Amino acid sequence: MNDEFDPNWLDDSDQPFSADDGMDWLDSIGGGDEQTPDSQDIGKPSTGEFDFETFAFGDVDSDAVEDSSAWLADLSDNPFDVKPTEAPSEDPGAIPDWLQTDSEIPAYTPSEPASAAASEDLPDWLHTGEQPAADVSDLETEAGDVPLAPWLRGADIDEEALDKPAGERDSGVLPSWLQGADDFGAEDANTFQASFDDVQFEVEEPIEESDDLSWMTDADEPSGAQSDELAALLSQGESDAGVDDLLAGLLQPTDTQGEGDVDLLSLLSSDAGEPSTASQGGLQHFAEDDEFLSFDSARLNFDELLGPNPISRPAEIELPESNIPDFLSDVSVSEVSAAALMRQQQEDRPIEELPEELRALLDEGVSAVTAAPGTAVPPPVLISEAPAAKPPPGRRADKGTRGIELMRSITAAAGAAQGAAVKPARVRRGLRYNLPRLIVAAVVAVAVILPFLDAFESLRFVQLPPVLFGEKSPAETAYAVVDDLAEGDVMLVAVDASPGSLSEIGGAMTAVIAHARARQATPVIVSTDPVALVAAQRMIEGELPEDTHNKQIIFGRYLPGDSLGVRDLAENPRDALAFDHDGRPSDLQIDSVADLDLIVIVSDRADGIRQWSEQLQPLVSSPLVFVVSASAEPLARLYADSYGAPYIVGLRDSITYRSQLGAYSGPDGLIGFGITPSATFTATPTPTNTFTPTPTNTPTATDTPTSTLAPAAAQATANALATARVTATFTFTATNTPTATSTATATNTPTHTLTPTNTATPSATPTVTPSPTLTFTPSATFTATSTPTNAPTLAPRPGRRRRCPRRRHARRPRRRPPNQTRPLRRRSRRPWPLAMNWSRLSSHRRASTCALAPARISR
Amino acid sequence: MDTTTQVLSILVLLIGLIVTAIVPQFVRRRRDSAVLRRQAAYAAIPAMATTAVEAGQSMIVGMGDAGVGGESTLLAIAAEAVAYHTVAAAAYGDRMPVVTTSSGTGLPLAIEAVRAAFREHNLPAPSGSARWIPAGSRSLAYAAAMTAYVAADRSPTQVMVGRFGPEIALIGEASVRRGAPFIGATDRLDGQAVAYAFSKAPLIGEELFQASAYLSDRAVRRGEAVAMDILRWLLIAAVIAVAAARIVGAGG
Amino acid sequence: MRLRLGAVLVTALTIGIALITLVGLLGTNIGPISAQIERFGITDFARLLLQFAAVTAAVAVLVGVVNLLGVHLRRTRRRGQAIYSAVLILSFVIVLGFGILPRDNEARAAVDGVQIALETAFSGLVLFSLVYGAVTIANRRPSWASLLFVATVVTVLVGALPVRGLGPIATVADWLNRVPVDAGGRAILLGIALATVIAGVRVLIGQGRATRE
Repeated sequence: MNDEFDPNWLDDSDQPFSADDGMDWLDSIGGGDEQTPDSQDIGKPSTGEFDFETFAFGDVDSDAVEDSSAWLADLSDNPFDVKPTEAPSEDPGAIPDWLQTDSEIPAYTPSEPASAAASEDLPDWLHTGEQPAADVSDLETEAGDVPLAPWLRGADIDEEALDKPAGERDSGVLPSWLQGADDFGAEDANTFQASFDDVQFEVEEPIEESDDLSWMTDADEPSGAQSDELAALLSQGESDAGVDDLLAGLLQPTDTQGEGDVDLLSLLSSDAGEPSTASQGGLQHFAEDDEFLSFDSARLNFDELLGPNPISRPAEIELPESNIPDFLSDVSVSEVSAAALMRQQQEDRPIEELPEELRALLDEGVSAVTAAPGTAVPPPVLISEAPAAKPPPGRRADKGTRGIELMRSITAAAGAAQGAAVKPARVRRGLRYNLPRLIVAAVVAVAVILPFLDAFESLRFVQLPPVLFGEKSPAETAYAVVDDLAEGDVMLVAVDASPGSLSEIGGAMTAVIAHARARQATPVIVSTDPVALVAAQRMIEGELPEDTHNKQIIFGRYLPGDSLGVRDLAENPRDALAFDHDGRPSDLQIDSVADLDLIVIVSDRADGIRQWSEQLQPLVSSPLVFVVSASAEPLARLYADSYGAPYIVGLRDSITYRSQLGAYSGPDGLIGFGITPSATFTATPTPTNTFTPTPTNTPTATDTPTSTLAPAAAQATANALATARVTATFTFTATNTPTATSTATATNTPTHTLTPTNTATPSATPTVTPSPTLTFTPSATFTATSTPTNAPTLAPRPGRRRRCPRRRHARRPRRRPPNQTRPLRRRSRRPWPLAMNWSRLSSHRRASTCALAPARISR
Repeated sequence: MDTTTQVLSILVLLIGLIVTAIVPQFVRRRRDSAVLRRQAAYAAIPAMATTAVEAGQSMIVGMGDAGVGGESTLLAIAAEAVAYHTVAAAAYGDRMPVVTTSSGTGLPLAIEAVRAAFREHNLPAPSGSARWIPAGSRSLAYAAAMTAYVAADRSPTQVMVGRFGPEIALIGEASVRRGAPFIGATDRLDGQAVAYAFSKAPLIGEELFQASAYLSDRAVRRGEAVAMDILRWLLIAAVIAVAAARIVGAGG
Repeated sequence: MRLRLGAVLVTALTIGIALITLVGLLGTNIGPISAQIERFGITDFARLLLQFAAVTAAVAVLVGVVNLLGVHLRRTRRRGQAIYSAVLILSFVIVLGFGILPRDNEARAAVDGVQIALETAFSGLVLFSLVYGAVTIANRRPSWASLLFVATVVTVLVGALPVRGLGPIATVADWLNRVPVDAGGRAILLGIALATVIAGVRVLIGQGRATRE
């Protein structure tokens, strides 16, 4: 019991039971415990469900039963507590005479209603609401005096039964506590039981004092005298009808009636045919055997003894036919048992109507029965079995063994008889493998593998990812946000994805980082998962080895504690980012998360997005960008819409991002790495690189194409789609004769410096003329109709500072000062994060919140 | 944290404190005043435990990645409550019930759940009944290990209540394929959707935190479930009020 | 009522620390009260406690690793279980060596060859398990709810295919993601949040110890 600290005002102890709770019978017996029962929390039923009055039992120390043998004499005519018809002997050790050793086994006598006097000495706990046939009024008086147990007294005493005359009263009436029970054939059972009234263990002769059978109460003292007396008792079976008579009397009524002794052997031989000599001899030997306990039933052939035909009653005994149910009229011990018949009387519920739990149990049982033997799996290595319970010591193995042998002989005999008639079921040996499952697996394998083969190009019906993002798409906005980074900006990349998910979104992650590096920003990689951090580092180092080696990309340390680590980063960024994952100083001058210029959250689950954005977004004014997997997109969109953050989703957006960035240079004509169509460059006064432009043709206007990007083999093919989609806002005046210069001249006009790290020559070309004489005006605009067809090539050669006009972005996010709080109006535009939990209504009955079915108790 | 969020957070905590402190006491005094709705999963757990004991099968409880010290602290405590009641129901069997977790900080909770459950039966807690499978967060290796348990331990009964992702599909599929009873619940939406498909009976959302109310007979726990209901209805009223105000404001 | 000093102390400590942390995190920038809170250093103390908690979480992982090693070292002496425990200990030593010794690509090899490979393989298995789950729910509990579940899954999956001609289905899938999924997800998360609040308040008022009763 929980004995821990539990203040009174938090005490949940139940109210103590009082006498008014209907437990006063405890006082009458011997004083009940008025304290609260020791409650165990293991599914113990609440007191509200059980009626202790109904199920309470008497105290074992009560005086209701004075001795163990006197009750036998005080039995009533109720079938559930058999009562003799005569006054009981006052001898405390008195027993019915059928258990006497010296007298013969008494014969059956017609039933007589139990005398009322017998009820006087009924133990209290056996008193019922029913009264014997006679002297009802006496019993009523006595019933009022005798403190009856509540389950016997009952809340609903059958008053009618009390008032009925004896002849009309059902002799098999149940105690009051069973009267309300569900009648699964109980009515018939009652009638059947009532037949016992007529065949009771009557005592014909008074019990002699010399017949002291107190040995029956001393179970702890086995003695030879016991076996002797019992053997003597059983030896009376030669000529006496006792137990067998009772059994025979139940089985079939006969026309004759009478009393007297019944010869056991004659009984057995009357209808069942002449028993075998061996069996007769065995039975007699059984009866005469001194050592009853060493009886070997294998010497008897019960089947032969009992025979296929029902055993008839002895001639002297007759049961009133009205008391024997019809369905038992022709039953015998060798045929269907009474219980089975009564069960068949019930209308079995079809399996479909069974509740789920019962059906599950049925399925489990069937599967357990039909489980193939010999398939026991050894216990797993990681789970150790508890030691099995040992059998109680002290039992003599020989008796147990003999009992087992007895049962085996009986069942073997029965099985042999049935086995000959039953054809053994043919065992169907199915295929070792599940054929439908194999077929499905083959189909799936073919569908997955074949598209990789060029011969089955027709199976590649899925559209390739676009080269560029759609206009005003979330991914395009994300691209533009990253593109707005300036030199020296710090971009925090929070990796909250599992290594397996990084294969989907790792491309976008590295592309974003490469994009930031192209803008000379400094990415800082952090994570609350050490494995994810290592995996991210692996991917980035593979893509941008130079930057990682030159410490242009900082891998921060692992942040322990999940959300605590994020909170720690938000509260103490200087300490959290002071060192990198190798323990070396990072040289980051970050005093507050507000100093971060961009936060990119890479996650494969919505919880990661939520965790990082909730902790960081309120403290920063810089924008957020989400890089999420396709599985997290529906939920990540919630937070993206709430925070106004653009997002890049899954593998397709990763490919498109890289394509737009120019990270790939493949046969499909993607833009080469390092050339970005955007024009938000910072001015640099000194050119760092030079290049010699190649002469190009005059660009001519062409129509805006709608198809996808053309193959890159054609250098002169206008990448009209790419140029049309580009939101670059610059114009140029092309000259017919572009002149080449050797050096680039510095100008005061804003120039765009590009220092690409990849010098690969792109196959697809933009529409920018590589002429040093061109001057790009930041305020100029670009129209798609003037796209040249033979666009000159642009080789991002080192030494040339690109001079690109400043591009006005359509949706540039405003940068707020760190201390400026957000206006309330903007906050109110966020969807109120409240919703009703409809799932509860759909799965539960519609009712008031707290007034439904009672609490389900476990045990 | 901005001012509005702070104020709202304080308001929610205060209301939650008042309701949680008052309502359970009221329910405790009047035990019949709160009758909880039926939860199929909590009704099935004791029956599953009994069946497992009778069939000589083991019972495995998984807490997933729920651990102490992080965001999932309270979830770990709720999962520990489920583990306690489940182990207590199966403690008297021959097979030792096992509580597993993939979080290192969840291991003490698992150990305590087992010890307390066996203590209720006045039995010593068996050693090795609480297992830590150090597979990290969102790890498929943990799910793979649980799948191995199902395959090797003759289809034990599994109760997976904690923090799981879609990898709970591996555990559920292994259980369902072998006919082993399975109940799964998690606070993650993607994992919850998968657990719903495999569970014998679903536990959705906040029902995961109500194990003590259903599996214990303490009125205080039922009162806390009632308090949760009251808070939920207050929230619904607030949502409707705000929506109505916006509609009126937009129309007017 | 018998009181145990240890339980009293733990409960008092829990309540005190929880209150201080709560006040320190929520009590800033809300007017004059914030000034008092900062004046008493509660905010700084709350931040310090957060750092302690983060470090404790990291140390707990280390303690768990040590315990795990101890358990498996003992198991190496058992028959039938020795090989698995030996492989685990050997793997631990190797990966630990990668982190300590000057490394080039060993750590990456461990991550690439083992961790990522395993997780990717299991991720593929999850696909089939999910399909099996959809079939299972349709068979085991055939009801309107299960049919709706399966239909929604199929619609969203088909709508996510980048195939021409599936535009209408993609529109429906997009609507499903934006409206019902949005609302249902928020509802479930709100319920979990409410339950978390109740559980947290229970810890605050000292009933946390009895959460399992």
